[in-house]
Amino acid sequence: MSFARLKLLGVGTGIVFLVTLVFLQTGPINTKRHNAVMDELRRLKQLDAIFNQELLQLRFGLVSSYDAAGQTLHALKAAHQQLSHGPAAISQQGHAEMDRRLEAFREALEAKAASFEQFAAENATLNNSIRFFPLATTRLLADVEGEAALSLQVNQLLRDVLMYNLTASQELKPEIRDRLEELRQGSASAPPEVQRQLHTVLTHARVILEQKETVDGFVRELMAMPTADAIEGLYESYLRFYAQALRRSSLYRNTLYAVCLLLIGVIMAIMAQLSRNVRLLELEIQERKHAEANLRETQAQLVQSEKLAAIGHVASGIAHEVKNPLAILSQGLEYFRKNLDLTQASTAEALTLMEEAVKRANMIVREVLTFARPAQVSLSPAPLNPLLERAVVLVEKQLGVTAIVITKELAKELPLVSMDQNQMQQVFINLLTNAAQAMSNRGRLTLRTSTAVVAAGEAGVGHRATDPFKPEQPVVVCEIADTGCGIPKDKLNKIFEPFFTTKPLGEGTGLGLAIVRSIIQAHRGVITVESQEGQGTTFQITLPALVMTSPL
Amino acid sequence: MTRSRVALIWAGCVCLVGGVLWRLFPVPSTPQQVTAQTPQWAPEQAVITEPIQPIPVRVTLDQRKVALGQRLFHDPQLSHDNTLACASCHDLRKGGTDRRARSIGINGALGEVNAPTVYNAAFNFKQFWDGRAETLEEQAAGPLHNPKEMGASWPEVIAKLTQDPGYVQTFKKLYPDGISAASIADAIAAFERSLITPNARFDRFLRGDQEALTAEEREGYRLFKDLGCVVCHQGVNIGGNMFQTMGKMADYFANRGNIATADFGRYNVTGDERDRYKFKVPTLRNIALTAPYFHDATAQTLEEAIQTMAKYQLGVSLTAREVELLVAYLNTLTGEYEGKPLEAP
Repeated sequence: MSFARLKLLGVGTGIVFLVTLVFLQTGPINTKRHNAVMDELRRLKQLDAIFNQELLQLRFGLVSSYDAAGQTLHALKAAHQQLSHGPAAISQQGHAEMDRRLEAFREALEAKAASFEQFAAENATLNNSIRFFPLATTRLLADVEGEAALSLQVNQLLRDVLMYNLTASQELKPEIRDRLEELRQGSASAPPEVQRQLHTVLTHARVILEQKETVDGFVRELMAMPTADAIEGLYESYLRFYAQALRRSSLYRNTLYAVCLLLIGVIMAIMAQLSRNVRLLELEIQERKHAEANLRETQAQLVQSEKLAAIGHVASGIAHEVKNPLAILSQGLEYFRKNLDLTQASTAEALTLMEEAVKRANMIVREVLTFARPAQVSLSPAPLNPLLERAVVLVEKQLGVTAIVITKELAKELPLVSMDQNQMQQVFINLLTNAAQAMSNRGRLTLRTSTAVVAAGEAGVGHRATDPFKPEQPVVVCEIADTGCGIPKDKLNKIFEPFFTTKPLGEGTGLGLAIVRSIIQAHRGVITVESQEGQGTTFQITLPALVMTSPL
Repeated sequence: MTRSRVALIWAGCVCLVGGVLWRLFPVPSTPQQVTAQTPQWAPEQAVITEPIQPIPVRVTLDQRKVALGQRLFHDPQLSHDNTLACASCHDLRKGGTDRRARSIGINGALGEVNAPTVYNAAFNFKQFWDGRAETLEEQAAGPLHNPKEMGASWPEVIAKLTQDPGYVQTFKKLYPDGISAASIADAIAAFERSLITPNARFDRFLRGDQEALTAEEREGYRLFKDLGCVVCHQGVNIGGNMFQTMGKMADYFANRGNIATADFGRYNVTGDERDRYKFKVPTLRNIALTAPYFHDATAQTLEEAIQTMAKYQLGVSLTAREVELLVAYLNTLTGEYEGKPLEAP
């Protein structure tokens, strides 16, 4: 396994570990449990308040059953136990504090329960006397019906004691105590039955007098018990630690989000990189195939041009050799024309034929030499349109009056083209002559010039050394279209080859279009041909335009 | 890079994102049903103005646990020498007591206090005369371990019960940890919660049937309230929800003499001087069936018990007629178990 692969494995493991860790940290927040804890805390508060209410109800005799208060205490203990199971997702520190507060609450609750136990016993004793006291006085009063003074005193005592029970103050206490003492002393002479009844009344009055204070003391003590504070503390602590846990969790969650997004981003970047590489690779393969094809083509061209050069070389050698004998022949013919008797028709005719043959042989020799050794091009910026028009005039003269309609669609303000005017003229004359011959001197000849911008994919456009044009390069286009016989498809790609001709034997040299092409190539231009048999042929010449044109 | 590998990476991304989203927005699950440990009973609204409430006619319990508890309650294997069951001292045919002054434990040992009735014990706020057990479950362990009662221990009882395939199977079905101290106590407690005696004539009266009591009995109830008895004997169980000093208005124990540790009552549990001679106020439900009375079983009849209470707790002297009326009232508190009135002695 390579080092890079090991590194990748390490980084991958690290990321997985990190994500897992962060993921686990976001886990502990359990809303269900949190809600349960909140419910339990609220319930605790509510139960404590209910218990205090029940306590007061018991004290003032609004409720006489202790069942409800006992059950509330049970419920408080149960709620505490429920909370002790450990509240939700708070921190270790939070748990410790909660435990401490729960313990404080438990102690307060136990103290309250114990105090309530005492209260219940004392309150029952007090209520027992309060219940029985009116009955006892009624019974006594029935026994002492005759004695108005005693009756009055007992009635006053009944009133005072009941009043005392209802009021919060201790004001009446000394007064009642005095009255009790008075009654006790006053009863010394009463009959034993009355004394016994009075004793009961006095006993219960004393119980109420003392017991009320005791019971109220317990009520005060119970109401002041810190259970409510303990619950409030629990509530506050829990909320604080829960908020802390929440913050912590959301921090981890956000981190997880960020890490995941980052991870996805990285993966997407890698994939984008990969697909880009794939595309580049495909392009490269295509390019290579293209280059290979080009190479083959170039090689073929090279072979062809070598062949052509060889032919040219041989031909020019022959032409040189033929040139001198032709000169001698020409001079000989001149001599004959001067010195021979030309009255005899046959002699003159033979001389004329010989002179024409020599002229033609000279022309062939000249063309072979031109093709084999093209004259050095001397380029200079020049307008194309006038050159074309001049060529038309020359051809018209050469061909005489014919039935050819010439249409000119020449662009105005055509950019200048860097060219050798003589050679370019030769190109036009050549093409125009061909066109005229193809139409048998009857038809329509269209000349068109225009500017254009070449696009990638068109002929001769590309980045290779053999491509004359770069994409987006401005060019001048010249079209020469005839309505002649056209060129068969199978011959179309051969017409630019030297010594290829469609003309009858002896009429053309087969070098015209080959020379045209070599001139256009020397101008870094392109010539293409389109033809429909029986419809016509269009030649299109594309030449690089000089962009810095007419400084008008 | 092949197409399938790209797909795999995309699938991984989707899973990752999906997982993250799923984690961030969790599906709320249904809350679990939680059953209360101790069944609560709500007082009936119609009669809440009275200091006493009727026993609920029906309580919801797991009947399989009740059945298991019933078998355990009557099983002498719970005692050391296989002679005594819970039911030996809490005979359901004798008002839930043994009608003895003190119960006889294994090897003829005598108990410290009079056995209280097991009927309606579920309504007591604490268990035992001195309230040393908070729940019925806690209570079950007491007599089982007391050498003067059943003289056994949990390991011993568990070992014995494990011999019985019937027990093993039933416990396994009802409790995840099978036979254990907690599960035995739980089953017994479940049975005891079923031991309630609704439909006493007085309960029917409380529910609005005036004719359920005779004029004399109604007069007895009025007296019961006026004299102050009802101050302690109130609630569903007509008692059983507070501690009270025995001898509040006069010194009961000095007059009785021969004071034993058991007489200290609640003090034995809390060590609080204020709790000396305090006892849980006993229920008056089915009181006519559970003589003798008080923790020391000093009252053989209701009349005696009423006189003692009047003297020491109320500070009242009662006429013979008043006692008669009160006894008439107390006789209306006998209820029904499993639809049949409890048998009189």
